[in-house]
Amino acid sequence: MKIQILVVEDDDLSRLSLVSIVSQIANVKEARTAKEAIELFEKHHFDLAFLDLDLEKELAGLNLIAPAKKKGVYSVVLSGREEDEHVAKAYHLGCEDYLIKPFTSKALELVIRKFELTKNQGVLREFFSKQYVTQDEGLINDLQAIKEAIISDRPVLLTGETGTGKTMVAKLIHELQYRTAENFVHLSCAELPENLLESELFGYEKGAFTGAEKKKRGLLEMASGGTLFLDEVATMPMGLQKKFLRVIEEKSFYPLGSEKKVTTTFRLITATCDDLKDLVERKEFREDLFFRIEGFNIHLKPLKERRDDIPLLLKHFMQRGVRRVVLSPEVSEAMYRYSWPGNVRQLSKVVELLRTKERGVVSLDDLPPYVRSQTTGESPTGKVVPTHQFDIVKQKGLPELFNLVEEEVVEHFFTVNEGKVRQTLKDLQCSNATFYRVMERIKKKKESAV
Amino acid sequence: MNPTHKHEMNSGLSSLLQALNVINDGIVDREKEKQMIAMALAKVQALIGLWEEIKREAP
Repeated sequence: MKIQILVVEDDDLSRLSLVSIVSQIANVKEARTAKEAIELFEKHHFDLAFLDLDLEKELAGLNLIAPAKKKGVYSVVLSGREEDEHVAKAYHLGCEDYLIKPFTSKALELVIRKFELTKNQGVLREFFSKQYVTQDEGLINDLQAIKEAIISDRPVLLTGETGTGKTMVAKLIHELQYRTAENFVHLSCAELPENLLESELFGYEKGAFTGAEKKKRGLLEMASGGTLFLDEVATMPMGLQKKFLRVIEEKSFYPLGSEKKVTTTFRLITATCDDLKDLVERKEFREDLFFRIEGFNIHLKPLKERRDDIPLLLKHFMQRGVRRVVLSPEVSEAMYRYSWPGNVRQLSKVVELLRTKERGVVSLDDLPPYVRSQTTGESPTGKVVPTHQFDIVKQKGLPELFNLVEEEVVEHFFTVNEGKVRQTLKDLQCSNATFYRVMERIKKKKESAV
Repeated sequence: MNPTHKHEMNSGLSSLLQALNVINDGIVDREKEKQMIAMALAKVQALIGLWEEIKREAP
């Protein structure tokens, strides 16, 4: 539904200018005098009112702030007067914003976005209860930066471990800003090799390179007028970082093999699970690009730092679909204590798995081994190896226990990272050779088990 | 310049600039653009008149 706006302005040209801008997104009524405005406030409902400070009498607009507030109307004062005493008085009387004339369409757009965000507090509340399920006060406070991000065009950098919901937050910012889910262009830089990543972003002309059989629009062009969400931005190759920086600065680019410049304007949201500052120090990420994408930094806490959300999330995921299963108290306890390196995404996948179990009451045996074996996050005795593992040493020897530990740990991180080798190697902090040697052993064991 | 003249001049110029911003942004249709240009020209005339008056009153 379109918002209802009242424009109160005695100058015909100013009024027409303002109405021309806001009528594109709202139903607008106009008043020339304070008296007309009061009558319209009585007869109609308005969400937002633009009040000129000087109407038929100087400062007459101030007298409209209180009636607007009484009717629950969000009021914005427009004035050429910059003196602090007038600004302070308008705010004291209850106006929400004060714009100095002449203002640009952009400034007006930001004011309207701020108004919509205030109106949409319910949307944020619903987001925290139904989508990004959390009651963690610290995280909710951190996510308040979303509000500031929406009323600005500065870039947003989302940081947090894998599975913490960075894509979900990026989509929310886009939807609140543009009032639509369309024009949200998402690309994970880690998924494609450098040359493919470049052609996806920039697009290409027919014959630009071997295999370019027809012209293709790039994501930079497709995101114009909307949001470009670059996930895993830390994995963007250095050469491409330089080209991408130029696009951000010049708001234009040349598709591969093309001599025709394409202009583009998009809201940039980037995400990473790496420490970009650290990468900059190690010269693995361009400092100039880091400064350009930093903007609003929103950090999403890992699940292990907000364990009290685990029962809420379990309830949330268990209620999906029509088939209901129940978790035994031991299962709930084990899941509460598990460290969830893959965060909410991993939790959701485990719940999905449990919901397909034959029995309606899920027991500890139904849990994946890596959750079952790590019920406390660490051994209660403070020792690395639980005592029951000593039996394996007795039966099969110490080398076999090492092998089992290696296999379980490697398989765990490989699953949690959804088969992403680079991230798994980073978590394991081991060499490629070790990783592939253990993976080969796991494969052989699985084959022999079949 | 007396305070009333000063306020009228500021307000008129601000109104003109505001209209120019909107026209430059290209967000209005041709018909409305014509209407705004006509009003802007009238505003320019009024401001010239105001300027003459200010000059006459100047010491």
